[in-house]
Amino acid sequence: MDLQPSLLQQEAERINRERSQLVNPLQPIKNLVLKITKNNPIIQSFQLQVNTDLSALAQVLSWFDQLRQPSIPNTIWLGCKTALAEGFDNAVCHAHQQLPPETPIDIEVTFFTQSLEIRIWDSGSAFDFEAHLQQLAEEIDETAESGRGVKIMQQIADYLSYTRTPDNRNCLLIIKSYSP
Amino acid sequence: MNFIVKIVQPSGILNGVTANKMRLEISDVIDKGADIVLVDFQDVTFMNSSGLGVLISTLRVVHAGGKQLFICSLNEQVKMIFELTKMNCVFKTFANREEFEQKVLIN
Repeated sequence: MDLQPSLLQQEAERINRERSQLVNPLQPIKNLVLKITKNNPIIQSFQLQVNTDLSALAQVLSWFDQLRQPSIPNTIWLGCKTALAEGFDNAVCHAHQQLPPETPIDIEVTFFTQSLEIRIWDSGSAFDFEAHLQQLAEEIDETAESGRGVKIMQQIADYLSYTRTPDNRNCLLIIKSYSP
Repeated sequence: MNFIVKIVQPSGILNGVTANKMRLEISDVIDKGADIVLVDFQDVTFMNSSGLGVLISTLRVVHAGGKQLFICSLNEQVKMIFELTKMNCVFKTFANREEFEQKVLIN
C-alpha cells in the first residue's frame, strides 16, 4: 500500500484529538484523588467477609463500630455506617439475588487521616450503575416501598461508584472525607 | 370520644426482615381494634432503607383503614435516615412517649 505523508498526518491528528477527548474528562477525577490523598496518608485497612445473608448486617455493623477512629465526627460515622448498611443490603438483595447464601461478600474499610473509603465486592452480574443513577434522578415516587438505598448512599458519600473488577466481580466504593 | 391507643416497640436492627415482624405486630393491634398506634423506637439501634420501606407501606395501610400511626424516641441514626429520605415530613414523630401523650392524647 502506498502510504502518503498527508494521510498519515491526518490520521495522527485524528488520534490526537480522540486522545484528548479521552484524557480531558479524567482531569477532574485526578484532581479529586490529589485533593483526597494530599496530606491524607493512609492509616489502616480492615477486611471482613460475610455470607449472602441479611441477618449478617448485625455482624457487619458491630465490626464497623469497633473500627471507629476517635478523630471521626459522630455524624460522619453514622452516615458511613448507614451507607455501609445500604451497600450490604444491595449486595444481598440485588447483586446476589440469584446466588446461593454461601456466596461471599467482601468488605474493606480504609482509613486516611481525613477520609475513609468503604469497598464492598459482590459476585453479581455486570450492572450499568450510571444508567441506574440517571433513572433514579428521574423518579419522583416519594412513598415507594423500596429503591432508596442508592439515593441514601449518594447523599452521604463525597464519591460513589460501582464498577466491574478484573476478576469479574463488582466493587461498590464509598468515599467520605472529613475534618478531624 | 375515647380512642384505643396501642404501643408497638420493636428492638435491635430494623431491616427488611425484622421490620416485617413489626408490620405484623402493627396489623395485629389494628385488627384488635386500635385507633392509634404508637411505634416506640426506644430499643431500635439501627434502621436501613428496607426497614423504612416496610414502615412506609405499613403507614399507608393504617391510613387507608382510617387509623393513625405515630412514632417516637428515634436515635440519631434513625433520624438521619428519615431526614435523608424526607420521610420526616410524612411521619409524625415525637421525642418520647410523654410528648406523644401530651400532644396527641390530651387534645
